[in-house]
Order: sequence, then C-alpha cells, then structure tokens
Amino acid sequence: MKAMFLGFFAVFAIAYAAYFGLTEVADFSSGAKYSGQAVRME
Amino acid sequence: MRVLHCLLMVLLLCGPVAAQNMDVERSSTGGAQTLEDIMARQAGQKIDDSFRSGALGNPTQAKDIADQLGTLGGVSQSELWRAIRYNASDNSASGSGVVGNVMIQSGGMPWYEFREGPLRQYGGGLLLVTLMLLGVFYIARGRIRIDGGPAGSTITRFKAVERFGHWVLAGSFILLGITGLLTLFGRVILAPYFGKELNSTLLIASKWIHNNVSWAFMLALIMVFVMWVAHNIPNRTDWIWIKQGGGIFTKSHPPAKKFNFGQKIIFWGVIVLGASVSASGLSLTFPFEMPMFAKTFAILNNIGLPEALGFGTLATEMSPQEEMQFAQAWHAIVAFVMMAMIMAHIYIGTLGMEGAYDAMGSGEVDEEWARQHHSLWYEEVKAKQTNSQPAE
Repeated sequence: MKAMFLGFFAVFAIAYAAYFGLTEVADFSSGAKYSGQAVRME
Repeated sequence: MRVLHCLLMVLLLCGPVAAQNMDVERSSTGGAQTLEDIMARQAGQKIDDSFRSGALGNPTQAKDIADQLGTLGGVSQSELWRAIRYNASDNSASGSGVVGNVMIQSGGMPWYEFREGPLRQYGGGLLLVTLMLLGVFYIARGRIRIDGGPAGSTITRFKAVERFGHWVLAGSFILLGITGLLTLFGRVILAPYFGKELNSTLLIASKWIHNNVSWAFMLALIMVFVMWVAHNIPNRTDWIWIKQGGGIFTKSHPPAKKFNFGQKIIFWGVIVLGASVSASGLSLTFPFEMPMFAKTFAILNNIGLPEALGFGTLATEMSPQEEMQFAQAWHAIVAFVMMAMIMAHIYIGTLGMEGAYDAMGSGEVDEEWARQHHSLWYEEVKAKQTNSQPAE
C-alpha cells in the first residue's frame, strides 16, 4: 500500500520538478528560438 | 457469346474510369481545380495534380511595357500562390526560419479531417468495444477463483521497489490517458453540454498535466523495463501456456514462471508502444525540433515494406508542419491501442481474478493462488526459502 501511495506522490513530484525545471531553470518558456532572432530585412 | 458480352460490359464500364486518367479538358480552367477535381480529392482518390503544379506562370513572357495592359508581369496571382504551395517560389518569410517559410501545406486539411473523423470514431470505438468485450467475458467466465479457496498463507511476489515502479507508471498512465482523451474529445463531448468555459478550463489543466506527467511516465517506463526485462523473455513454458489458452476458458492451470505469456504480451506491448508514444510525445512537446517521420519513412522504404503492403513509397521529404501532423496522429493511435490493452490488464488484475490484486497492492500473494497460476515461480521461491534456512 505504501509503495502505491509513494508511487502516486512521485508522479506529482516528478511533474512539478519537470515543470519548474523546464520553465524556470532551462528557460524553455521564453520561446527564445522564435522571438525574432531570424528577422531578415529584404 | 456470353464471354463476349461480359468483356463488352467490362470495357464499357472502364470508359468513365479511363476518362479520369486521360487528359481532362482544361483549356478554359487552366491551373484551377474543376468541381470533379475537388470531389475526387475529397473522396480520397489520388489525382494527378500536375495541371496545378505545372501552371506556375512564366515571367519571361510578360507583355512589353508599351503593349495594351503591359506589363502586368508573366505570373498571375493564382500562379504565384501555386508556386508557393508546390515549393517552387523563391520567396522567403521574415522570421521563424524553415517553419515560417511554409505558407501553404496541402497536408493540413486531410490531417484535420482525420483527427475530427476517423481518429475519434475508431479510437473511441476501440475503447468502447474493449469495455464491452470485457463485460461479456465477465458474464461468461465470471471471476476466476482460487480452486478450493485460498490457503491463508502468503509469499512475497513483488518487492517494494517493483510495486513503486509499477504504480508510478500506472498512475501517470491514467492521468495521461484521461487528459489525452479530454484533449481529443472535449470539443465534441464536453463543450456542447457543459459549455465552452468549462471545456476550456479543463483542457488548459489537461495540457499542463499531460505535458508534465509525461516525464514521470518515461522515467517509470525505463525503471519497469530494467526491473522486469529478464523475466519477460519468452521461453518454452510459454508455448505450453499458449496451447492451453492460458487456462482462461479451459479452467486448467498451465505452468508459468514469474510472468506468464499473457503478462509478457502486456510487458512488451507497454515497452514498445510506450517508447513509441513517448518519442512522438517528445516531438509534440518540442514543436518542429524533433522530426522523426521523414527518416522513419526512408528506412521503411529501404526495407520495402510499404510497397509490399500496397502503399507505394512513402514521402521522405515533408514540411515541418506535416511532421507535426504525423506525430499527432501516430501519438493518438498508439495511445488508443495502449489504453485498450491496459483496460484488459486492469480488469484481470482487479475484478477478473481473485487474489491477483494483492501482488501489486501489498506484494504478498496467497500461496494457493501462486501454486495454481505461477507454479514454476512458486517452486523457485519455495526452494530458495528452504535453502536459505539454516541447517539444524
């Protein structure tokens, strides 16, 4: 039983860790790739 | 005489078909589609669209400036847009690189229609049919009982770490499945009855849950693979199990080690399909950054599989948007197959078989259950227990 509750808790823990890791740390949220770096004036 | 009649009928019926293949009268329509072209395309027929892709205008044939209505150029607006559609123009977009350069892509509408139509119908249908079949099986076979009742004593089947890995995988899969289904069906099942606001809120939450819980699923998938792959290699015992149909209908008890063949199907199904759904999922989470289908199609073409199945050669060059469309369609198809499999797995592990849930619940299973369903595994465990007891 304990393993099951620990498992479910781990799902949320990993989800939150992934969310904060990808948005706050790795800065995936800023969309840097598409925010105008490739603007060419023709 | 009858043969001649038949031959004549066949030839006459071939007439209209042949007319589609021969050059259609296009002197008045040129590069524009006719009603027949549109109907054929919507009916999913393959049409020769060279009348469009070839009608791109010719700048060198522009009228002289002194001519009447000169010079309007040698390329009309329609021809310009056809050139853009067929990647024959030398225009470029001012941002977003390769992705932004695709201003028209013909794959968009068929994909959209697939997602709105067959994907929902067949995917949802598969789940409903699975549920129905499980119901029929329960009515016909009933709950598989322990013959003669449980022994009362237990042995350890799964350690804590094994159960932990399973429940991380199971818990994340349930969340991913529900949020995925909401994403596909929310617009047609929720919004009309509960309003667009509720649908929107649920789907925003679903997207967050789906994108972030996916990492837990992928980690647990690796963990489960590492833990149990050795026990899931098929062997001769499985052949005996298969021949007796797992004892599901015959009510016999074929021998089995830690995992029987039915469980091995679930294991390998989850690993292979789970890896596939993860790969397409990663491609969807990082749009345009992880295209996989062009390369996959090239490999398949080299093997010769698509041609053998009658699909001809698959496209090996596709726009970033087409890659994303394939990724979404594949992700959903694989997910539906997995959900159907797991529904059967959940059934047999809970309602379907007495004593089965304990294996993952507490890790301790009844000895009589083990003797009947996993006799070879039971012998191994008991032998180890006797050997580890100190000699007296």
